[in-house]
Amino acid sequence: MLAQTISWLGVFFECLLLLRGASSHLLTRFPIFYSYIAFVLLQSLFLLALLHWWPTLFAQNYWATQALALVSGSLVIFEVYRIALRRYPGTAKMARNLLFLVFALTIAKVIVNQWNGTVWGLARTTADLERNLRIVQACSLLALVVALLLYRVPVSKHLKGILTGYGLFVVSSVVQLSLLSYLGLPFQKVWGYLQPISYLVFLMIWTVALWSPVAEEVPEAAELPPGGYSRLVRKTEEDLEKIRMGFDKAAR
Amino acid sequence: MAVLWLFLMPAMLLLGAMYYFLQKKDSEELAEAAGANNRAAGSRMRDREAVPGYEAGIFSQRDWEFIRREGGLELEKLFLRERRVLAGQWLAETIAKIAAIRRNHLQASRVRHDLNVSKELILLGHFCYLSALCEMLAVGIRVMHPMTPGKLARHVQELAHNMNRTLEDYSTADPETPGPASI
Repeated sequence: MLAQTISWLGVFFECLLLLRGASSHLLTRFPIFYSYIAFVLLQSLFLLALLHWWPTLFAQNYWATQALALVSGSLVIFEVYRIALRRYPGTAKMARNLLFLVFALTIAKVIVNQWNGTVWGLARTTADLERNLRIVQACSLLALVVALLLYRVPVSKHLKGILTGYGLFVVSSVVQLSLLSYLGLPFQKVWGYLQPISYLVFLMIWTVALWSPVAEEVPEAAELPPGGYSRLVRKTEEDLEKIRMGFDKAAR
Repeated sequence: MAVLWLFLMPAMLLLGAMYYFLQKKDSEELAEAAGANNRAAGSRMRDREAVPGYEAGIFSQRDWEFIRREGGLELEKLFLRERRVLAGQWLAETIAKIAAIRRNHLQASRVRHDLNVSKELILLGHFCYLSALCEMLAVGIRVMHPMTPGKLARHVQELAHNMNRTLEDYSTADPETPGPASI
């Protein structure tokens, strides 16, 4: 009964998000994010219907739709990357390289596992497989957040809300699925409640962050300084060399 | 248990990064730039008052040896106190200068289409090295004799210089040229 109430509350917040998005024209600004919310809404309704009328089909359909949600969630990360770094091609290049590193490491891991005979490595169950894919998502998000922090890229309130909600959702998924895999059956009952409750919290974060209709203005990127990148690096190196010489002078 | 921590590690790292991300305000950058300008202006004012090149030999043993030869206990104490203050001021200014160089570089490089990732990483390494050196010296000044960090700074500088030279040698080396016999 409690689980169903939480699920219906989730449906309510998803509808609220979509309606608010439509009325404040945020649907057109974040089309992938709202498509993801719409997909999760349909998934929730479909799973609730299954649970009510065909409970035996619930488990296999849950994991199948979860895989689709995972793919559409990855597109949300791409949308954040695209919008946040639109005016910052240098940072975008850095983030692309970091993401490339994450995917290269993932592919290397899969190849090594395949070489050892287990295609999905430590994935014995579907939950394990989802955990592994969520870890890849966590690493991708980490690369993106590191690039944003390193280059101090200003991010609008809406985008920050989307990123925070999705980031926390990925963190909680990794933690919950890891514990599910480690503790097994005793944790499964708790997980049945924990997962929808935590998702409800992330839906609330998104609702609060995306409630304000006026788009917060992000400061414009600075004008392109004269000279090429090599000139910029040379100047920075010269400045750093002066600092190093200061150390020499002080220690002499 | 170790495997569980291995799986949890990316999530924990992401959580930490998200925390810093949320702490960062959009206006922070502007406030920081204004603060840096104020600091730089203050530093320029102090420079006008201070003896030019006051930082020369700030960690030098020679002055200390002179004072020990010439003065009494009170003079030694006064010298150490003054030197500690002077070194602290110089380090604070150096830290502010490094932060300003880094900020200016990032502001200019983030809008560049032709950004070179490897050069950026090398520069990031240099910034981290210099900041770490400053922090190390600041701690050294507080907990040790104010002249002791000088030896440490020289040693770290030599180490970094040798490392840079080795890296440059390898990056400019002709691939056809055989390496040292030990390789």
